Amino acid sequence: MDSFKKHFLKALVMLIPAVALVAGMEYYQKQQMEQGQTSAQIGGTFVLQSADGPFDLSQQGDKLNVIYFGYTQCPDICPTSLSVMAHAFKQLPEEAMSRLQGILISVDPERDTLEHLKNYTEFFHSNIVGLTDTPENIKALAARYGAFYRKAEIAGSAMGYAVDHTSIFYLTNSQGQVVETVSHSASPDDLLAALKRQLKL
Amino acid sequence: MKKWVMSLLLMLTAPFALAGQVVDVMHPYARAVPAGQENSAIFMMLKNNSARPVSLIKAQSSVAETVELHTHMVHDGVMMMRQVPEIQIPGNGSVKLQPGGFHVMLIGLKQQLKEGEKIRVKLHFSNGSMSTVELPVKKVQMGMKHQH
Repeated sequence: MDSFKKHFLKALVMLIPAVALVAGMEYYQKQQMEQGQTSAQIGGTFVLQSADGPFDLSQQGDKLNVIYFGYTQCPDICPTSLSVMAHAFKQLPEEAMSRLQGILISVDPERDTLEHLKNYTEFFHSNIVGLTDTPENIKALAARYGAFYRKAEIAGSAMGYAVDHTSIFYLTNSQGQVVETVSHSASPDDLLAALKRQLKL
Repeated sequence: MKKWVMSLLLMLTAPFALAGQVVDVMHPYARAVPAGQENSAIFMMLKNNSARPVSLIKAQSSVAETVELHTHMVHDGVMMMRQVPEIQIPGNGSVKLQPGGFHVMLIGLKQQLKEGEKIRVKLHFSNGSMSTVELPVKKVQMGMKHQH
């Protein structure tokens, strides 16, 4: 009987690491899944500066926002994207304009002034607002949206530096939750289709 | 005497006339920009009528402090603009300078480029030819993918 107890105890002790391992793995998996869910949810509200004062996304009423990260010295990609936005807006019925807000967030906060951002966005469409803030805040916000940018020195160019960046439209609700993204295109068709879908037109 | 002047004039102008035939500049336009904007771009199509490749190596314009040749690259969804030393036009082929790709970049604009205006640009090619092009200032043209 003594030997049975001894073996039983031995087996029990040996079982502990196995149970701990399985429990640990399950816990790890559960954690991973939770993390996965939070990282999949990109976007969020923000308060940034505009030429007309602070712009609080959550205080804009129930609007569909079209957010684009770019900069005014961007010679080609950004004006193309803002034209795409403007052309898409112009093809929507007038009543839809009050439910829509275009937003350009500067990824060149060191060079883009509030005044010029306003000039720049209004040149394309009056429903687009230009926003900026400190470089740190913009960096953190871009990360929340999954937007990427970096300064790129252009050797021998009078530009000084350009900003490499992703070119994506983030369609969000008033809580800043991204409901749809539209990749870069030289045609307004994709964005227009997404806007119609989200505005239920 | 008059004949002599005429032939001298012809001799001097002949290379320009020939240059116009080697590379055709088609549909050139500059992008209209808002007030205070420091740079813009020129787009066009370059058609090479010779069998040999020719490159656009330099552009000049009085509307900007600096004029450079640039291109765009996309890497993992990141848009990158870079200066290029030349834009090659294949023999009997053509190259498009268009949004999202090659462009003549105007840096340090001395004037606002307003829609409807015209500006001039000098294009220098690798075969030693040069053409002066007058081009309209336009807002970005939107190509429709499909006609609905």
